[in-house]
Amino acid sequence: MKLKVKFNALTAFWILIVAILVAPILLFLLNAISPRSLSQGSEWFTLRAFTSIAHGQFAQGLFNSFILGVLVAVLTAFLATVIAWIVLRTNSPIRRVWTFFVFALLLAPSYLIALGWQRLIEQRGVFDILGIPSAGIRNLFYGPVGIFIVLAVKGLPFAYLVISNSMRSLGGEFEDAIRVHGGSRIEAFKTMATLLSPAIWSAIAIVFAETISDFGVAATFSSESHFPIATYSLYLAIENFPANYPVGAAVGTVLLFLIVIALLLQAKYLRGRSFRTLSGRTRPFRTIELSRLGKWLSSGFVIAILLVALGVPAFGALSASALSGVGSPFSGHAWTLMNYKSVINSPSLHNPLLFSSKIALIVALFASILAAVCARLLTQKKAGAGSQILDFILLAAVALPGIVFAAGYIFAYNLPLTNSLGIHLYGTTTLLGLAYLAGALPSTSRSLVGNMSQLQESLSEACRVHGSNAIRTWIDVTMPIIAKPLLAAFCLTYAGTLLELPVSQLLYAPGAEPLSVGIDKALANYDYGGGTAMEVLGILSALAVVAVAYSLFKLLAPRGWKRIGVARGK
Amino acid sequence: MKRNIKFAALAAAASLIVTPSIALAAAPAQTTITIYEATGYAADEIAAFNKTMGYTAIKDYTDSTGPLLAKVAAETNNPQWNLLWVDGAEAFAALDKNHALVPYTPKGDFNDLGKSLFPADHSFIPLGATVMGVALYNANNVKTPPATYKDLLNPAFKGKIGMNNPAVSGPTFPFIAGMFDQIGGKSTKTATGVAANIAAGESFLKSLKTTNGILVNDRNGPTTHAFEIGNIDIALIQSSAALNEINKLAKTPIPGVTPKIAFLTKPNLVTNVIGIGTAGTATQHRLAKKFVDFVLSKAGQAVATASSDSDSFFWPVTTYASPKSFVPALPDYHLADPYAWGPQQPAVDDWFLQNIK
Repeated sequence: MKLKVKFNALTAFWILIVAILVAPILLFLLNAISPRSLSQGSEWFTLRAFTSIAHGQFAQGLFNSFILGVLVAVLTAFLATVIAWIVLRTNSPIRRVWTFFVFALLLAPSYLIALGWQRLIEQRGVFDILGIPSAGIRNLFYGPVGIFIVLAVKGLPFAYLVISNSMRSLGGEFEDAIRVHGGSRIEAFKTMATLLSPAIWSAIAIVFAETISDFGVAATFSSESHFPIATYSLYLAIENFPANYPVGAAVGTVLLFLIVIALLLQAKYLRGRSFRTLSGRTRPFRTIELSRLGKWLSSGFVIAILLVALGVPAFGALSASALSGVGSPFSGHAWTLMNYKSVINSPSLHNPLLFSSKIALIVALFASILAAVCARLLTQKKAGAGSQILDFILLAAVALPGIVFAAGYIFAYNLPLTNSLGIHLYGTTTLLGLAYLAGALPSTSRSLVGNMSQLQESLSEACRVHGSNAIRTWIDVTMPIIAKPLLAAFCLTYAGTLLELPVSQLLYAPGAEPLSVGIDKALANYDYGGGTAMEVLGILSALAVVAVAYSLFKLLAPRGWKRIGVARGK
Repeated sequence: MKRNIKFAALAAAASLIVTPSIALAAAPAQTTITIYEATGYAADEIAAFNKTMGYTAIKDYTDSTGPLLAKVAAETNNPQWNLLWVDGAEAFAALDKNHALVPYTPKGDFNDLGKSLFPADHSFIPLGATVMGVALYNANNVKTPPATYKDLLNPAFKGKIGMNNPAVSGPTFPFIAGMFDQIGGKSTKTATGVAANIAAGESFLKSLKTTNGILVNDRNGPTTHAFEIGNIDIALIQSSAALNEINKLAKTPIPGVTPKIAFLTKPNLVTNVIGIGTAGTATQHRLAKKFVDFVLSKAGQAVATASSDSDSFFWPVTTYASPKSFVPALPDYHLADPYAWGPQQPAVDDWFLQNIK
């Protein structure tokens, strides 16, 4: 009986992973080499799709995406390490508010950041209305510079979460030892950075993958700036008529290949080295007291980044939502709250927000549970082939743009075979939810891996030896390590799902429009006021949920869960 | 520890598998159908029809024509739509050739225009007509408006011409098909004639791009917006969108913008079409036909003509509906053969994306 339960549990888990991650991806990629198998062409096997993308806009888009991915990943990993050090290891005043802004950054999708900039700098935009010259910045931003900045802004919170979670768990004894033996603060920082290598490399891999698979920038700046990136080429291949799925699949395959390279480089660097730093003897670190100049410099540095990352686009969205006639050539602009009243009074404007709030909550709960399971499986000491396959699937899935997932879902859940099996999910909100889950799972799982890998299994074993059962051991040993990242994963998934664009666009069920689709439609109809008011209300509602989640954690979570890496009794 | 993980995995997986079943179990018992539509006043028709049915009989999925056709193509193996309602008979002709439509002769008293737009096998149904190849121009900046396609090559229009993307905008492929017909001048009854017209048309568009450049936007909306803010002076758009722009600017003028309409050679007729998909049960097909009858009934036509959406600025196909007061008489038009051009749409749209956009 016991054996049967174990078998069923693992089987169910793998069926789920295959159903939501593997099958859609493989079916989509199959298009690239065998279009006939999915009724997308006449050939059972061909490489024509790859030939098609070897030149022209597809090749240019892939090249641009690769360069952008590398630059953004390296820059954001560096910035995230410095910011994490300022926030976690010093008494810089900025540390008190940074966490709030991290989640603000996380929950602001790239298309909203880009739209915030657009509302400011476009012709007849907020800057034009306010009489601020904007032609120069408009020309600069509608090109690689704007795309790079928005992608870096989106990569930064991912890198920060991964690196800060590890840094938080890193005891102070290593730095103390260096300082006691005469080492400088820079040498201590270097050592800390080395011990953080797994997290830094994970951050680079995640940000690289997120960058090259981002769709929000593709849908905004790239499409208008004549600077092709891979996801936009892919979007054109899939979304426009005639849809060319084999070509889209070929672009997706190359993106995956790039991620595999990143994965191999990461593995090559980490192979044969141990970074296990957390144990029963881990000691707390001492907060570094900065001078007044140090406090000013550190706070100024972080504030400057925040201004570019959030301040400007937030101002763009807020001002556009509170002004009449933004983007319109008609004269007579005035400050008003009418746009918000329209959203509140019009079902077509507020129903998408209500719908997305509900589905985001459900998806975030499931994603958190599954991410914890995946992370534990990935970090088991005796990692078998299953863990390695899961690791590959999760990392590969990060690289695939949401729009590719959606296309894969169309194939997987719309095949006659699927329907003959009695699975009628296509065109339902359930399928949309599963696609959201599949999109969220890879990044949430990987964001837990850093912490989970620092957990020495001897801690659990010791707990069991002293009489604790499995559940008690999980609560006492594992949860303190992953509680905070798990909460972050929940909030990240909630916010990401609430405002998700490409999957929503392709998979929303008739009569149940998600928020991003509602915003897109409002903006497409030049209702900039209504659309931006929906954006603002969406973000505010997400922030409210994050605030409630953290407040509940602060009030209800056991003390040990809140003091990660800190010895008990302090 | 491992056992605990596996229990958690089981719980999560079971929950996710059970949830869809619950959703399915909660499905309503009444017959429902799904419509894919890109017609501005369709939502009003659907609401009125659902009201007469007493429940949500029709689920609305709205998007631009291009993405809808891409979705239809992706669902070839297992179509999820019961009705498709977009501009352009060409896409329906292609679907008809693939046996993806249920022929139907709806109730309703059709006028001559309506009767002329039915295909021989009644595989799709015309619901209205507009023309494309309308040049909405700013009379402040364009003193001599273009009257033929060749006139667009005038260097005075450099950087000032805009049009829509046929891969997204429904009425734009019929426009391109008609333009190619008129530029090539060959009969489209043979494949050679179609090929010759395509070659001539593509050559013209390339010349236009090289000589004056073309600002390509996805749909009528962005193209008229570019017109309003002065990025272009000539917008090659649908008659309904051009009339809407004239009404709008008459009500709220923009300094320096005086919109007027010119027809290029013979404007090309764009049929607004609805088709019934083969997917679904006989009951669903009956419901779909009932909806088509409703749209073409007096009540349905009244809903259309009462709408303020620019898609309702059409020439009706029934005897008991009239065009809106500001819609002029239907000009002498060219009608591209949908069955000759429908199969060409994927290749022409792809060429446009690669060479013109």
